[in-house]
This record gives sequence, C-alpha cells and structure tokens, in this order.
Amino acid sequence: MRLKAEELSNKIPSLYVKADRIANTIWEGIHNRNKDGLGDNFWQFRKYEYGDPAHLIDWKKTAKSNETFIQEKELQTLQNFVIWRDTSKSMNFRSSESIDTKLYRANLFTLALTIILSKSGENIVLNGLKSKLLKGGNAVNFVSNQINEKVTDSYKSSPNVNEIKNNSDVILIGDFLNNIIETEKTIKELSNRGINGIIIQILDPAERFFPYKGRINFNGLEGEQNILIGKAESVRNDYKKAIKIHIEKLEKLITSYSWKYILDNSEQDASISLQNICNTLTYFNNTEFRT
Amino acid sequence: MSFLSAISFGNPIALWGLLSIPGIWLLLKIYPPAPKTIFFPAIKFLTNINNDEETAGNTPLWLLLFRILLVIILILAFAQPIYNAKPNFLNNNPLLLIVDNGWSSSINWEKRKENLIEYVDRAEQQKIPIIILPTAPKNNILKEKLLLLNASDAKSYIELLTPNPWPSDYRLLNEKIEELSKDKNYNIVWLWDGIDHENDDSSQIFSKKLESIGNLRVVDFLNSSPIKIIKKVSNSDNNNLSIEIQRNFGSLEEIIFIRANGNNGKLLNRKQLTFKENERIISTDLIIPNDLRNELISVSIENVNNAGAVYLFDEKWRKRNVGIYGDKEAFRTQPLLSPAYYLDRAINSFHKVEISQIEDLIKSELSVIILPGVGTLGEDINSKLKTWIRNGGILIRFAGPNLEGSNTDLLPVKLRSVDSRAFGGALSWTEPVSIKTFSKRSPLFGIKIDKDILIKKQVIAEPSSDLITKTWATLEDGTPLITGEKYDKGWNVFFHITANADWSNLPLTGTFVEILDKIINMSMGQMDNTDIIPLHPYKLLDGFGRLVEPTSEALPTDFNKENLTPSSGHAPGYYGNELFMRSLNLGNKLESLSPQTITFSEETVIERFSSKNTLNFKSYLLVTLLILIFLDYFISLNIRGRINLNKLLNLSKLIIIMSIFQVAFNSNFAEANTKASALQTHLAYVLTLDEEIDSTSYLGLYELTRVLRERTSVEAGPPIGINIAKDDISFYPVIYWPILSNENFLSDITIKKIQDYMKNGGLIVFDTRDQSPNNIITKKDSQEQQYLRAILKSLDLPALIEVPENHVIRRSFYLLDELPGRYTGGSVWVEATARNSRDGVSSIIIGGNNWAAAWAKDNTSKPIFSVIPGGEKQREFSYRFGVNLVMYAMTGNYKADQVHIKSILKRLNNKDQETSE
Repeated sequence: MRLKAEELSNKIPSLYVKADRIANTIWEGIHNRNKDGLGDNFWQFRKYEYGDPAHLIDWKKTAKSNETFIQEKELQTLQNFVIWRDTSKSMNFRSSESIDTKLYRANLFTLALTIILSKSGENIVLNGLKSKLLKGGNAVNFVSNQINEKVTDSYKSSPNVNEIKNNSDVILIGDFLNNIIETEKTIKELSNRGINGIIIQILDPAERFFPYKGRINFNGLEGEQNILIGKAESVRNDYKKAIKIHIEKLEKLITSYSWKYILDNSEQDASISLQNICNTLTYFNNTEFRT
Repeated sequence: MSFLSAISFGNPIALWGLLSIPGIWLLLKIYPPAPKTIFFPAIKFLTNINNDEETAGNTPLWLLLFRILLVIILILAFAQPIYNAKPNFLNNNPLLLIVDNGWSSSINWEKRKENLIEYVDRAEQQKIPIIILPTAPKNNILKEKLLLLNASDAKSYIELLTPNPWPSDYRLLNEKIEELSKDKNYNIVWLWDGIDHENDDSSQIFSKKLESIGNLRVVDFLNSSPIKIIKKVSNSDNNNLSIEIQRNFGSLEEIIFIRANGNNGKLLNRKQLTFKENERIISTDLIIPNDLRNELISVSIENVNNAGAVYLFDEKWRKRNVGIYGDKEAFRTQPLLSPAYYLDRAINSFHKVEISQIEDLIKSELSVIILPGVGTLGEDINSKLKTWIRNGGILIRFAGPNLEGSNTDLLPVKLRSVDSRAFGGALSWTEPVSIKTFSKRSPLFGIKIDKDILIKKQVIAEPSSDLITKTWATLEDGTPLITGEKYDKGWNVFFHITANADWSNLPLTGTFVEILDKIINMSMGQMDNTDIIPLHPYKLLDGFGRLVEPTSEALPTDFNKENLTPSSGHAPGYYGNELFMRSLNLGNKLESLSPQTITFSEETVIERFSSKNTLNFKSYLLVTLLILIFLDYFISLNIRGRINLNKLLNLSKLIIIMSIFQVAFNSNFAEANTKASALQTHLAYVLTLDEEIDSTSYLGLYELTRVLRERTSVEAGPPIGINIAKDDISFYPVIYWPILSNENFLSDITIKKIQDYMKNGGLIVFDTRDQSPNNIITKKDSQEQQYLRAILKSLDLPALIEVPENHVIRRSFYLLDELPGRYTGGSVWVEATARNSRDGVSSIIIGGNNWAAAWAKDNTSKPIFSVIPGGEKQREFSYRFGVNLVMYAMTGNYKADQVHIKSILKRLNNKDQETSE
C-alpha cells in the first residue's frame, strides 16, 4: 500500500512539473487582454473619480501622494471550462515503454490546460467529481490533487452530461475508440444545450499503424473476446483501413456539430498537441487568445 | 580418440531414433509457435478482419538447434552409452565367474567387486545366466550345487561375497568343475589374484580345465603394491619379540610400520621398517616389555588389510596360572611367616595365583607350580608332578628346614645334605653374601643385580660336572643360588633359599618379582586336556584382518592336528573361550608367497586390471536433459514475452547476493557478540519487557562501570543486556536482574542455565525495585516479589538470610553499614550457607532497593532518579555498594579470608622497622 502511495505521490509532482512547463511555454505566447475589469490580476492605478465604489480605493497608493487612487484589476471574462478525460482501462495502454500511456497523456493535457486556463482567469471544472467551478490557483491545486483519483465508474468512457452547466465550454479528452454512436449521443446532447466543445483523441501509434508481426493472441483491456491472429502482418492493411474510417467518421461527426477535433499521437511531444489545442481554444473563444 | 573408441552403447537400437531428427526438424519448422499475448485496446477493429493466414514456425535457428540437441541427448540416453564397457561375450552360454577370494584378495576387494558387477551387467544385457564360483569358499562347495543365477541374484551374491582369510583352494575347484556339463562352451571370467598359495600344480590344472570348457578370460589383479604378511613371530630374548615380515615381490623400496596392539585398541609399540629393493623378507626385534606382554593381543602391519598381516597371541604368550603350595589357614593368620605369602605378593600382580594343597594343584591344570619348603613328596605325587613337568609344566621349589636331601628326584641338583649334619645345619655365615651373577645361559640373564640383597643361609649343591650348566644364579662365593633343569617340555627350578625372609632378604626385593616373572614366562601356558578336543571358534579374523565374531560357517578346530593351517571353515583367529584361547595364525602357515605361474593357452584373453572404471553415461545424460528442458521452458517463456529474462537474472542475482550477505552478517553478528563478551569483563543485566527499565539498568551499570574504573582496578567494558532465555550468560561475573511482575515465566532450559551459572560461580542480583515508601506503608507483597518467588522456587537454592553484619559484601571494598539503592533500609538477602564448591560465596543477592536507578546518570552526568529519602550521601553509598558487589563477584571471599591480617601487618611492621634501621 505504502509503496503504491509513494509511487503516486511521486507521480503527481512530476506530472505537475511537466504540465506546468508545457503550459508556461504555451502561455508565453498568449498576450493579456489589456482591458481593465473584474479579475485577480492588477491592471493599473487610476485617479479616483466620483462614483467609483469606495472599496476600490488603494489606500497604500493614496497615502503616498495627494491624489486618491483606485486600483483596477484586469478584465476577466467569466467562462466555464469543463474538462473531461477518459479513465477507462483501455486508456492504460502503451505499445512500448518509451511511450506514455494514453491516460498519462490525458492527465497531462488536463493539468496543462487547467494551468493555462486558470492563468487567464477562467472557471474550470473537472468533470466527474461533482466539484464546483474553481478559479486560478485553486483550480490547479484541485485538479492536480484529484487527477490520480479514480473517477467513479459511471463516468468512465463518456462524460457525465448532467454535471455540465449550460454556459460552459467542454474539453473532452480520450481515445474515442468506443462505438461512434455513443460519442455522437454525448455531443448531440451537449450541442443541443448550446454548449461548444473540443474533442482531443489520443491514440497510441500502435493503434493507428498496427506494427505487430507473427502469431499473436490479442486481448482487449475491457473484457472483450480475445482474437487469435495467425499472421499479424497480413491483417495490417485491413486494420489500418478500419481505424482510418473510424477516425474520419469521428472527425466528420464532430465538425458537423461545429465542435473542434484534435488528434493526438501519444508518441509525439505533448507540447505540439497542446499548442494546437490552445490555438483552437483561442479561435474558439472568439479571439480572446492571440498567439 | 581413445576416449571415443572406449565408448560403446548398451542399447544401440535406440540410436535408430536419430533418423527421426530431420522429421522433427520439419515439424518444428512447420508447427506454428505459441502465440504472443498482447493487450490491445483497439481490438474491436480486428473482429471483422479476414484472419486465414497462419504464421509459419519462425523459431530462431539457434532455438531449433537447441531443441534438436535435446532430442539427440534423449536418444543417446536411451542408447545407454558406456565408457570402458566390458567386451561382449561371444555366445549366449552361461557366464562362469571364477573369483579368487582368498586372503590375498582383500587388497583391492572393492575394485574386484565393481569389476564383477560390470561383468554381471554385461551378462544381464546379453541375457545370459551367471554361475559364480569363489575359489576360497566359506563352506564345502562340493556339497552345494552350482546354481545358474540371474543378474539381480548374482549381484546380491556378489554384495555378500567377501574375501576369506584362507588361501584359495584350486584342488577343491578342480573337483567342482567336473559338475559342469562339458558340452557347453562357457563364457569364463577368472578374477585372478596371482598368488601361488599351494606350491603345486593344481592351479595349472584348474586353468587347463577352464580352457577346455569355454572361452577363458583372465583378469589379472596382481597389484602394484606388494602383499605383505607376518611370517614368523618368536620370543627372541628378554623383552623382545622377533618378527619376520614377507612380501610377495620385492621390486620396489617400501616403508612399513608394524604395531603391537593391546587390549581395546591400545598401541603398545610401533616400529618403522624398510623393505629395500629386491628384498622380500625382513625381520626385526620389537620391544615389548615383559610387563606389557600380557596385554599384547596381536602384532599387525599398519594399513595392510589382510589376514596374513595380523599375528594373534594366545595363552602361550599370556598370563599363567600359578599354583603355590601352602596352608591357607596359616597364610591368613600368620602371613609374614608363610612363604606362600611372599610368593603370592611377588606373582599375583602379573599372574593368576592359586594357593592350595599339592594334590589339588596338580589337578587344576596350572602352568607353574611352586613348592616352597616342601620336603618329602609322596611317591604318587612325585610321579604325577614328573609327568606334568614333562608335558611343559614348570616346577619351582624352595629350600627349607624340612627339605630332605635324600629325595632329590624333583630337584635339578643333588644337595650336599645327604648326611644328617647337612640336614640340620645349613651353612651359615657370619658375613651374609650377595648375588654375583645370573648365568648367561639362564633365562634370568639381564636382571640387574642389587648388592643390597644378602643371603644368610642356603643349602648347597653337591658339586658335579653339570652343576655349572644347571646354575642360573651364583653367589659371590661361587655357590649356586638358583638352579634349573629341563625335563622334556618343562622345567624344574630350585631356589637354594627359603621363600620367606628367614634365610635372605631376596623375597622382600623387586628382584625376586623379576626372577619369578621370568621363570613363569618360560612356561607354555596352561596345561590342559583341551588340546585333545577341537576348540570352538571364539573370535576370528575376517578377510580384511579384523577380529570379528565367528560366522555360522566357522568350524571347531583341532589344535593337535599336524600341519594345522587355516582353510575353509577354519579361519585364523582365536579358538576356545574367554578364559582359554588358542590362536591360529595365517602368516606363519603360508607355504609360499611367490607369484603364481600358470601357462595359459593362446585363446585365453588376459586382461590387466586397470583402475579405469566403466562409466555409464545414461544418468548423466538424463540429468543434462532435465536441465536443458527447464532452460527451454524459460527460453520459450521469454520468447512469448511472459518473462523478461534479464530481469529474472538480475533478480536471482540479487536474491543470491542478499542471502549470502544475510547469512554472513547474521553469523558474524552472533559470533561477534559472544566474542566481545568473552574478551572483556562486562557487567550484564537481564532485559525485561519494559524498555524504560532496560535503559535504567543500562545507564546504571554504565555509570557503575565508570565508577569501578575510577576507583578500582576493575576495567570492564560497556554493560551488556542479555536475553535470559536465549543468550549465553556464562561470560559475565555478575548479572543484574530487575524483576518485572509481568515477565514471562522461565523455561526449564533457562532455569537449568541459570542454575549452572550460579553453580559455577556466577552472581545474580535480583532487584525487585519495590522498596519504595508506598509499598512499605501498605506492607503488601508486591507483584514483583511474587514473581521473584516463582523464579526462586524453581531454582535449587539453600536457605537465604539477611546480609549479616560481618558479611563479606559489606567489606569487600568499602565498609558499609547499609546497602542502599534508590531506596534504603530494605532487607538484602544472601545465601545462608554457601556451598563448599563456591568457597562460601553466595551466588545470589536479593533486594528491592532499585540500585540501578540510583546509579543511573544521563548523558550530562546528572542523576536521572532522585534517591529516597535522599541526599547525595545515599547515592554515594549506593555506588559503594555497587563497587562492593562487583568486587564480591570477582574476588569471592578474599576479604573474609583475612584472618591472618594481624600477623601480616605485624610482618609488614617488622620490615618497616628493619628498613628504617
């Protein structure tokens, strides 16, 4: 038990550090909104004008000079982001030791996005934990603490739609290898409530290119019937065709609801995909983010 | 190549199996390998895919070769490859195994046996029956039928077959072989020992006969190390045995040891001898003092295990039964006047003595009869005695007042006392004379002459021409003192003095003992009638020269037989019974020890025995196969990806290293602890279940050790906590034992250990730590006391008393009125009467003053516990008690011993005065 706990606690900081590093590289490219408004971050001092609420007066600054100053905070638009990641067993797959498991990658994206979004003052919620909307540092803390918790079973392979509030944007991370109809159901329901979203499909290279050879007994990770393939290389083309059709269908489905689709190869550098996601987010939020 | 050519196959048919290897090759190539198992999330995209093709076996070539190797080994194992196999027999007629198992075959018997088994194995493979014919059989083989044995029976027969301690008897075999049917062409193997036992041509006839009935194969076992026997043993002269040793060939120089064995394996003497090159016989003298002669059982050659290398000694060499004529009554009432008394004292430590009337003595089969001072012998007795002497008895007579000169029949010399004057008046001197010489011819020669021996009276012999030859000892004036004469096998010896101290002081000296012993040792042993009837075997030598209980085949042996030699049923050894034994030896009966010369016909194969053993590879191959199969299993697991071979290797390495370290550390640690305790004095305390009490004990004793180091010469190491149940407590002079009420009770072993400790001078201090004012007020027995009582009940202790005023513990270093610890005033108990073994030192001290707590200081040298009622004076006294305690444990009652302190002080004073003066 203890060993496992230690392993986990070691994992969280490393995941956090990695996520933080990636998030910062992305964040550097994103400028501020340069507008005063409601927010956590200081924006500017301004001379007190009649009508300004008294509690905005910055007494320190005021005491330094003859004028009365008001501290203005940077504008923060209130946007709710719901992040969901697939935690089903099949996410634990990786085709080789050098590649991260899909779940690790999903967690990485979740955390990195939380960091980035919290920096821009968004409200963030991790779907499946019935938590409140969180902002800023709180959100990062919460997510990084909860990320290795097992999200309860019912929300495994599809997000808990009921938990998502209407004025939210949804980021769904997973492998989406399950039946496309289930995915469509989710998207349709959310879309009908006017919710916009991004779907990030994480796939292991082996799942896309099927590099196996020889006689192989394939077992599913979620209790599927095993399949004995006499000569794996002979079915490679057929498989590749099938998976390609699936991916294309999925993309078509997503774009048809004018959601965004991003395909992530778990072999690639995670920051590439994350950059991609942020770009999409910027576009998505109507030029709030600019690179 | 000689190695390969020496390999043959027991079951060559199995080698055809090698033909199947190409088939197996193909099969391995075609057969699909076991599939790898892979977990794959996108499995559902595989379900609808056409899956007809199979992977052809793509076993790596090396694995393929490895598996083929497995099959080859399997096939080879079944083919039973044998290295140095015995050659095949030419036909399927019975195998006749002739085994030389005479005494000389013991030299490498195990190898002979192995060789036999190999031939039996061979016969088993060819499925031919076996006849085994030992040449030195246990019993008369003429009566037994020759049996055709199967291999397993033959093997058990061979297991039981031992070399017998008599020579091979080819004459007997020549007759026996006649029983075999002549028409068969036997396979004959003769394990030949190559020693000529009989000096005649019976072995040559035997070989001819064998050649006539089959194909003879002779395995020549003539060994490179010669066979040695003890050929002859005789009494050479005083204290010496002359021994002659022979060997069967003399081509090399050889060092041997002969040993004289006493009772119960006692070694009486051992001597090194060297056979020079080309020397076949050596002889030597082995010193066996007469006193030890009776203990001598045998002489043997060291490290030579045959029956001929052991020479057994029997009654002839042993204690004699000596009869002394005398009146038992007088012997008892007035011993110093009775001559028999002096004789008995002189003889009975070396020989068995019987004192009786002459008639009884003659009847009771004695070696020596002594007649002191007997004059006239009856006609009847006279003749009986004469016959007895002629048969080997020794008659010793002494002069005396009533010795009648006329009856000189049983005297070696005539006495000059025929006339009455001589009768009444033995010559007397004013000056007594001493012994001049022991005659060179006499058995007494060599005895040291003691000038203190003085002869006052004697009877004088009539001078005659042969007087000198009969004289054994002469006096200074030339007259004989002891004379002796041989009658056939026996002797008649005469002392010209009395056997008591009347005429001389010789009977009072050691010389007398020596003289008598020498004479008695000349005798032949008991004279008895048993020579007439055959004696039953008592203890016999086996084929390896060991004395063992006789087997059922051993036969009674008639020692009166002419040319008695060990033969079938008559093994060398002891015959008779416990009281009377005759020995039959082999070495001195062997006629010849020369190599046997037999001319074999040309068809006969002669095989030099080589030490090269036949080696059957089957079992080795099967073991190798098993290992390889395991290896194969791991390899295939690895290929299927079930295990990671590298990881496994690392893991196993780690486990091995860890276990080695563990073992090393454990043992080191345990030993180091004991060693440390043994190398230095340590105070010890018993570990309790309470850590706080343990640390108090430790700190207390630590501080006490420091105090001891400061104030006394006791330089002890740090205190050691001991687990009373497990640790060795014997190293510690004193053990402090704080009693805790909830301790476990002690096991019997622990109690035994504590008792041993106390018995051997250890000191245990029991501290119930309960003398606090509270307990005194309540006046109840504390639980600690109850527990202590339970411990003490199981220990074997004398009564305990409170430490008395003058007890040593109160003054072993300091003078103490009280024995305080953290509390004071409690009574302290010691043993009331310490047992003698411990010099009056109590092994136990019991108190409740919680001493360790008073002693204990923390690392800033501040006392940890306050003392009650208090004051540093009490603490100081508690240290003083501690010092006294350790002193008491180490020096015991040293202080109590100072009863002479006054005189010591006085002496010191005197010295001071002297120096000051």
